[in-house]
Amino acid sequence: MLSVQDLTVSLGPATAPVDVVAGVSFELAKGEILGLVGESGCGKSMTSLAVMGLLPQPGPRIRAGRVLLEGCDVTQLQPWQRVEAGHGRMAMIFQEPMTSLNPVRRIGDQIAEAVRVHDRVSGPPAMARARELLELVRMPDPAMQLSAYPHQLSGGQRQRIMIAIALACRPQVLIADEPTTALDVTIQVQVLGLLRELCNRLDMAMLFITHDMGVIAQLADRVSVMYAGRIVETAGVEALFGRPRHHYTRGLMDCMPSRNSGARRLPTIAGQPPAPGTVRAGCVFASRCAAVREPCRTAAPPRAEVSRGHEVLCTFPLDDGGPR
Amino acid sequence: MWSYSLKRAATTTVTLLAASVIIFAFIHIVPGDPIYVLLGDTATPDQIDALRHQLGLDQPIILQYLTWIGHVTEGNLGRSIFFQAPVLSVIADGAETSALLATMTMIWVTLIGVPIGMIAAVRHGTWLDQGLSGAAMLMASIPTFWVGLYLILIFAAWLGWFPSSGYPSIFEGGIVNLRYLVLPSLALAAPNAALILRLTRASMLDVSREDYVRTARAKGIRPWQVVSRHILRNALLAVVSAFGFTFAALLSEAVVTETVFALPGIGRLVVQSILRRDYPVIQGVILVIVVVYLLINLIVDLSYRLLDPRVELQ
Repeated sequence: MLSVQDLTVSLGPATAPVDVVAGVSFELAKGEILGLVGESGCGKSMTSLAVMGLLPQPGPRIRAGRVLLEGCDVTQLQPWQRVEAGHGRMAMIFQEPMTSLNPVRRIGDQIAEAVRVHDRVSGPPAMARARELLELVRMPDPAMQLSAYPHQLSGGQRQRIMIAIALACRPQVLIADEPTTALDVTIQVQVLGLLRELCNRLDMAMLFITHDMGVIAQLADRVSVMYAGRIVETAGVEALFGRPRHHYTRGLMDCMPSRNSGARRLPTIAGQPPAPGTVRAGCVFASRCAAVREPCRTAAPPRAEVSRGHEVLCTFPLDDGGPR
Repeated sequence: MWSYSLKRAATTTVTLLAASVIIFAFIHIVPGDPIYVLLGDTATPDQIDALRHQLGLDQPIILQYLTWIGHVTEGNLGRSIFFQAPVLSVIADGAETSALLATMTMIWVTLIGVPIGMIAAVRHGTWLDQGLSGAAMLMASIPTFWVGLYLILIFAAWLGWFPSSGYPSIFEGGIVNLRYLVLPSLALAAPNAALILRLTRASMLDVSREDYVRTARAKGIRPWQVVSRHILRNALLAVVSAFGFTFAALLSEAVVTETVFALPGIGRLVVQSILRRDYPVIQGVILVIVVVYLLINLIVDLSYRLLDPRVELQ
């Protein structure tokens, strides 16, 4: 469905590029939910914008790699060019529902605008489809909401509108960039439930980006862990949480509070992620890794499949992540 | 809406009252005496006293103010000392020129400033943007009278396309007389169009970084539709409010322009009346300008409501 191969996004001049996303690859099968987790600044939003063709101009650019949607190369195409080329069935929702809708235009207009592009209809049929989409995202009183302005809606409602806009292209792939981070916990649960249900019902694949391991555990089928612009570990959700093989993933797990962690202080991973472009050789995690050995500082770690569907980017992966 | 209008009317009245006090006070602080201007150096003290009494200038200043403001509320701005005619009719004579000049100028400002600002924003960072922004900076820095003089030199003296000075009424010579206002309105428009151009450009660049513009691009609509439907309208919110300020700048710059082009407008009337110490005319003109300015700003505020649904008129 969606195949991202060796995607590299760079900043700075072409002669001295700084890679903020370095050789990211993943596959997304029909109806599958892939979680992409990582700390702030690890390049996960940049990855999602690059895949969607929405990198800000001027700014970062795709220096290498390919994005294939159903086998068609859409790497350097912006969304409107993808629509023209007939590969418009990918959509995205964003972190900030409060600012992601145009404040001076009615909800109905904003949804119908997307409908017009993808269904090539206009007027009442487009508005009828907009209403249908509002029903699809379980918006109460959809007919009324069509004539509302964004400032009259709550954050959760606005995120539903964003999802409705995204569904207008009948997406095969939905990219969700921290769609629940800005929402209250109860609303978060509702929106996550809605996304899960829509994926099932519409047979839609989803790339779900978050820094929240808890959300990933509930929602995703597979997980990719990102660190300093690289995917360091990819596995099925149970394998990853049950038996992490990368030292960074293991570190993240240890930072999560559990029921029996009690009042003791949670462990942290010492140090800071390296700034993009500062690691010239070896593993990007070497400076913070508890199990670092000499080769880690000089040789780039290999990508190895440690078990079926479980890939890890490490020279000395954990033999046994062990049950937590 | 009604309660908003009432509130606006009340604050407008207070503003007007405050303005009238300031206008009156400042004019009487300025040294000079209309009596000497009227009678010349050879007048006898008796003649001076008689005229001073006749014009009411021998009364305490507070009383003079109250008399004046009393007449103003009846719609009577007094009589011009110099013209020996009602101030209202003196102003009306200049109003046609000034109103047409202001309208033509605002049309130039809108037609030049907004579209070129848009082009500069859309072509952000290219040589075209650099050139247009640089030209705008230049136009904003050159004084109006200098632009006026060069326009006269090029388009009136050398090319002979437009008349260089004066303005016969369109009610006498027909609509073609508007050609007399082309050069002065262009001179007046230059710095203001430059300001609107820079503001349109900056505002569009700001808006184009908004999250909802990214949403619009994600929908797959074409780039020009992103600009026209999502960037432009939001960017114009900032520009519309600037039209109010632009108009204020226009009023003061018109004084210079009307002098350069010898136009019989309100700006030149003010300058001449100040030289003649024609108090009633100065007071009347400035009061009218204040009223027009307040009206323009009221219109700007009301148009906000149409452009931005978030604005509640309260």
